[in-house]
Formats: sequence, structure tokens, C-alpha cells
Amino acid sequence: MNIIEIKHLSKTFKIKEKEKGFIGSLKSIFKPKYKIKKAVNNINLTVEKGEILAFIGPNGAGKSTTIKMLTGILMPTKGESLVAGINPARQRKKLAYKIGTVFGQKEQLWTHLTPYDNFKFFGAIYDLKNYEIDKRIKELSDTLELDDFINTPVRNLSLGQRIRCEIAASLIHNPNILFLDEPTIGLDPVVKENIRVLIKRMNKEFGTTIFLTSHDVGDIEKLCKRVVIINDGKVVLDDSMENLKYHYLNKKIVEVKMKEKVNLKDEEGITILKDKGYNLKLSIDIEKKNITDVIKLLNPDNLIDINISNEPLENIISNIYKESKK
Amino acid sequence: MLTVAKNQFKVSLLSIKYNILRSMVNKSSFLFSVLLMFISNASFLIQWVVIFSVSDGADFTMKQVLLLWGVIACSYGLSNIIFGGVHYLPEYIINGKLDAYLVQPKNVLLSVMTSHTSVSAFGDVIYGYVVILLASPNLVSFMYATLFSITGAIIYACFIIILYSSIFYSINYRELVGSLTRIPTSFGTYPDNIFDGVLKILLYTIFPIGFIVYLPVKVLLYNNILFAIYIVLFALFIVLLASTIFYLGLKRYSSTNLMSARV
Amino acid sequence: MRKYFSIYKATLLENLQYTKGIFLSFIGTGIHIFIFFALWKYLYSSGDKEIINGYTFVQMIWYVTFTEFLTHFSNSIILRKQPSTDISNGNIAYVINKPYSYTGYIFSRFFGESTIKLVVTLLCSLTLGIILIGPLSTFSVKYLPLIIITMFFGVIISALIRLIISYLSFWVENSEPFQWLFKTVFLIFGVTFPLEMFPVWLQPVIRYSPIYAALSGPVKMIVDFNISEYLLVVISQLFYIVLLLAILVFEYKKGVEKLNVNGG
Repeated sequence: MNIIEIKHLSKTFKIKEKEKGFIGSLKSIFKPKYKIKKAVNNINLTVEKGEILAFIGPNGAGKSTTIKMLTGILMPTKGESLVAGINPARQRKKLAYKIGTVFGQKEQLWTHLTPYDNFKFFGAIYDLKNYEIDKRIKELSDTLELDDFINTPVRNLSLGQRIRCEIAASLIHNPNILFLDEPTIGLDPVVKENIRVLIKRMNKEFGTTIFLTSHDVGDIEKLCKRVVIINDGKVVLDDSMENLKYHYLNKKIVEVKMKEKVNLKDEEGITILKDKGYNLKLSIDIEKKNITDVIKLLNPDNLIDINISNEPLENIISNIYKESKK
Repeated sequence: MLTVAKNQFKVSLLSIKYNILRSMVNKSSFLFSVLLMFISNASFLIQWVVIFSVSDGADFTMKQVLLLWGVIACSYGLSNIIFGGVHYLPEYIINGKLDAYLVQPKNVLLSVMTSHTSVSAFGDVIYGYVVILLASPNLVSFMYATLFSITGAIIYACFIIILYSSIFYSINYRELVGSLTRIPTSFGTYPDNIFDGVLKILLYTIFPIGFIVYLPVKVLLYNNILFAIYIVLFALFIVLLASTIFYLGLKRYSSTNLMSARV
Repeated sequence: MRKYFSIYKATLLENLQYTKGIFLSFIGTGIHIFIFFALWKYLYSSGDKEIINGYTFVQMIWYVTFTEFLTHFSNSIILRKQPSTDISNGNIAYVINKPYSYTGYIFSRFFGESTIKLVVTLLCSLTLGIILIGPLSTFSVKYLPLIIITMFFGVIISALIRLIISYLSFWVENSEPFQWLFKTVFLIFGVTFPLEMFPVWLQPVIRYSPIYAALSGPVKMIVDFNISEYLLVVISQLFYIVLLLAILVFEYKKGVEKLNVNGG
């Protein structure tokens, strides 16, 4: 079942252009020039219930604009979307009961209050009865492990604890979909990992569909089964994580250290990334060239050290960004 | 419909309660601000002692001036306690902070209005009541004072909302309307006897100080019920006007980008 | 001295962008002056008087216009907010180690900002005064250099008091309420009425207070110049500048000592 359906969604902005200098500013007052920017350009997408979807792209690609249209903050210029069966452009308030949002660094919690009091407040926003709120707080506190600090004022919490509370607050009304915008930004690796585990658990236990944006490849790799990449307002890739890896993982990075210099040139399936005489870094397309052939080519007796690795996902993604820019 | 209103009321009340708690986190600092605001208000009476020393022939009285100060302090103070968020509207609009309220199933305008409380405003309200009861110590005055604090707070807040809604159309209006927001408190602390002509008309229309202060003082002085009804009707009218203007602006907010950062 | 001059210049350039803001911030002042215009018009006409306590209507309005003009300078974020912010967020610890005095730095910035304010606010004040009441016949250009000196001293005194209050942030969490108090006291006893308006017993108190030295004294010289009064004003101004500077230096020294003990 599709919980999000996006059809031909587009958003254009008119941006006032200003010429430089004093005369330029005068001109822009009397005869303003506008530039049309297509922030989101004909996006089509469906998300299944219970899915964790990574929605990624470089800065300014149109991610936030899309999320804002899906959550009812911005009205689309063209096209429409259905989120949990509701059109966000028409029924903003009705939609609000079905979705939760955590917007990156923008905090929604009251910092002088405890998480518990905060949850009470957000519960009231979603018209929950007191006993319902308490029951829900118990559930969330178990799943997201908030027990230790649920009665400590938010301003005294660490960043990681705070994010967990932000997520819990946005889940208080048991939404069908959670929009997570950069949930792990600014966290240390251990806390990041911990947040990912909790997000995954929450997805399993409550069946919440998660719409995630992040610049952190770790978030995407560890959490998501499906990746949608957008650039310049268009979807440039919509694939499962497995396919993405498989498709791009036919490339291996081979780094070698040798006793004697070897004269190796680019040939089919082999790209030389770095050549410092005794140290070589090669990219091998294993569909075209066998790894063993490469090693033979280098002469195994000549090898001091060898390291064969997959191309990092980070590079794969940034390559997709670059290619889609062309 | 009734439950919707009830739930909305509950959330707004909770929001105000939390604001007040926040302003009292540091108790001594809170009390000090309240006390200073009280003293600051009270010291303006010296100014009036000076004015009265040269006012032979003037037809305003000390009682009238006390009531003026009482009513404006109560309205302004109460407005800044329950609707203190209106002063943050420019920041919300310019920095895209309305987004947070747009994803909640509650009234955006009320959420904004009840999002902040000014600490020193308690000093204003206390001062206002003290002065009104000093000038006119009886139960009727007390009840009128309470009614006009509420209508005044509403009218004042709506006036600010209307001004700041212009920022939805261009952020360049920010400084201009910012300085216009001080008009009610500037004019409201002087009797309307000294203003005449076009200005007097303006004070009962575009700058609704007449309905915040001047008419309430007349009711307190002459016990004129008809004026009290006018005030309540005007309060209802400006609520409708302010919310219409705000929501027109909000429509713009959700279809354009005021700031490039919102792309 | 050169480093302070470059701070001055940088602030001046920075504030050049806010000219529109300074211009608009005059609207509030303009409203205040206008209300006083209405009040005095009413008082002079209802009492059917030419002169109240030695002041004509024209002098009274120009008095308020120029006290408001002077108040504009000390009502500065740089004096009121920046030191408090620097102290409370600990930035001051970094500044202390730099090869210039923090107070000197603040004053250089203050002068930079004031230069722009001077041009904009003077223009606005003169225009408003001319429109409301017309030229001031008791004013004589030959005293202008003397008047500029006493006005400048007046600005310095208000600025010193503002800064002394801001440095209280070394000890109290929020010094802003003291700033309100300062503003209110100055407004009531200095901005709105000339000295002669107050009860006789209160007049000597105000006359020898910093309020007279900072505001009422210099402005009185504009609307009604008198050489013996002028000398008295300047002497009291110099006295207060020395006294306030001594307090400021002492306060800052104690504040930094406290900071070092507590480690910021």
C-alpha cells in the first residue's frame, strides 16, 4: 500500500535579482527583475507503508521544498501529492495528526521544561487525553530509552539525548509517517549509531514510515532500504540500496606497494587513480577485468602490500550528483 | 466544533503557563524586573505633577491621568503576558519559523501569539491595578478594569499583528512597522484632550488607542455602559480583521519564498 | 591610537549600511516630540500664556527636540548590549588578552556609530522642529562652537553611565533592568522638561546631578545661551567625566579580577 503518492509535483520561486551598487539598488526598486527558479521540477514518487526511504541530494537540490510541500507548509505550483490519503495543500490540519516532523537543528522542545512536560504539551496539541499521553510516553520512553533523563530539563541534556526527545515528541500522536531531516547532524559516531538503532527499532515496533534526509552516508546505508536522489529539483535515481550498491560495486579500489616500479597504463577495466612509482592506486571494473588478472599484471613477486576495497558509498553518491549535474 | 475550541483553548493555556514558568526560572531576576517595571511606571507620575503645576485652565484631571496610566499599563501588560508572541512575528516570518506551527493541527496565529511572555509585564499589570484602584477604589471599577484589560490586550495584540503582517509582503517593512508598534503606548499615556482634528480621528481608527485607553477611561469616569459596549464590539471587529489579514499573509508565506534560505 | 581609529572607521562603514534603520528609528522619537508638541500647545493655549516658567512655546519644543536628539546617542546597542553579551557568553576572556583596552574598543565603536547617527538624527531633528514650530529666534550662531563642546561632553557622560551599567553584568545576570531605570530617570528629569519646570526644592538636586550635565544643561545653552551658566555646565561636565571614568576603570578592574577568580 502506498502511503505517499507524489504526482508531477513542482514548485517555482520568483527571486528578485539585484544589480550591484547603489544604482543597481535604485533600479531594483523601480524596475525589479525576477529570476524564475524551479526548486522542484516534476517529481513523481511513491512510498510504501512501513518503508524507510532516504531522500537525498546536494544542498539546494529541492529536498526541503519537497518535504515542505508534503507536510503542508508550502503550496505546490503544479502537481499534487497524497500523504496518508490526504492532500497536504488542502487539509493541512487533518494531515498534521498523521505525520510527525523532526527538522534538523530547529528544535521544537521547550528547553526550560523536562521532556515529560514537553510530551504532555505535544500530546495536548494532538488532542490526546491525559491517560493516553501517559501510556504513549511510557511506550516511547521504552523504545527510545529516555527513562534516565525524562525528568531533567531539556537545556541540561546532551545533544544526543535532546534529539531522542525531539523524535519522541514528534511521535507522541503515533503518526503514520515521520519526516526526519538530518537527525544525526552534529553528533559523535557512537551517539549517531545509537540514534540509528533506535530509529530502526521505532520503525519496526510502531510500523512508522520514515522519510529521511541526511548528508550522512552512514545514516542512509544503515537505515534505508531504498534511496531516492534528487538534484536540480528532479529525481535522478530511485532504487533499492542493494541495487545501488550492486550496480556501483562492480568497481574495486586496489592499492599496492611494490618493490620495483611497474609501467602500467590505463586499459579496458583499469583506471589509474594515483601513480607514485612504488605506490599505485587503481580502480578496477570487475565486469571487464578480473582481479587476479590485475595482480598477475603487477607481478605478485613484486608486491609488498596490497589492499582491495569497495568504492565507498560516499564516492558513489557524489559521482551521481556530479553526473546528474551535467 | 465545541471540542475543537476546547482543545485549542487547552493548548493555548498550557503554552501560556509554560511561558510564565520559563520567565520565572530565575526567581530573583524575575522579581527584580517586575519591581523595576513598577517603579519605572510609577516615576512617570512625577512628570504629571510637573504638568499639573502649569496646567491652570486645562480640563484634564489627576484622576483621569491615573486611570489612563492604569488602563494602558493593564492592557499592555496583560497583552505581553498572554499574547507576548506577537512581538516575535517578524522573526518567525523572516526566519521561516512559522513552519513549526504549520505542521501542528492547531491555529497558527494563536500558537504564535501565545509563544512568548514578557517578564516585566507582570509589573505593568500590578501597577495598572494599583493605580486604577487608587483613583477609583470600588468594585465596579475593578470589574471594568478587568474587562478593559482584556479588550485592551486583544486590541493591542491585533494592532501589532496587523502591522507585522505587512512583513509577509516585504521584509523591508520590518523597521518601519517596528517603530509604529510603539504608538499605542506613546499616545495612550496622555489624555486625548490635547489632541484634535484629524489626529483624534486617527486615534479612534487606524491607531485604535481610543478603544484601548480613552473610551475605557471615560467609562470609568462617567460609568457609561454604551461606551463599554462599543469597546467590546470594536475588540471583536479587530480580531476578525487581524486574523483575516494574517491568514492572507500566511497564504503568501506558503506559496513564495521570502528568504532564499527557505528554498 | 591608530588601532582605535581603525576600529572607529570599521564601525562607521558597518553602520553606513544601517542608515535607513537609523532614519526609521527616528520615527519613535518624532512621535514623542509630536506628542509633547500637542501637550504644550494645549497647555500654552488653555492657560492663555506666552511664557511658562521662563520658556516660550518655541523654546519648549526646541528644548525637547534637542534633548531627544542627545538621547539618541547613548541609546546604543554597542553601549547597552554588547558588553553584557560579551561578559555573559565569556567572549570577554578572549578580548582581555588582546593588545587594546576593551573600554577603548567599545568607545571607538560607539563613536563610529555616533558619527552616522549625528548626521541622520540632526537632519531629522532640525526638519521636524522647523515643520512643527519654526526657527528658534533665541539661538545665535556665534555660540555654536561653545555649544558643540558642551553637547559633546554631554554625550560622553551619558555614554559613560550606560557603560558603567553594562559592566554590572560582571556581577548580575541581567543588567538590562538598570538600563531601563537609567532611561526612565533621564527621560523624566532631563528629556521632557527644563530644570525650571520642577518644584523649587528639587531644582538644586537636578542641577548638580549628572542629568543636568548630560542633557538639560547643554540643551539649555541652545535655547537660551548664558555665559555664566555655560561655564557652570562645562565645569560640572568635566567633574562628572573624571568621576565616571574613575568609577568605570575601577569597576572594570574589579570585574576582570572576579572573572579570573571564577575562571569565566
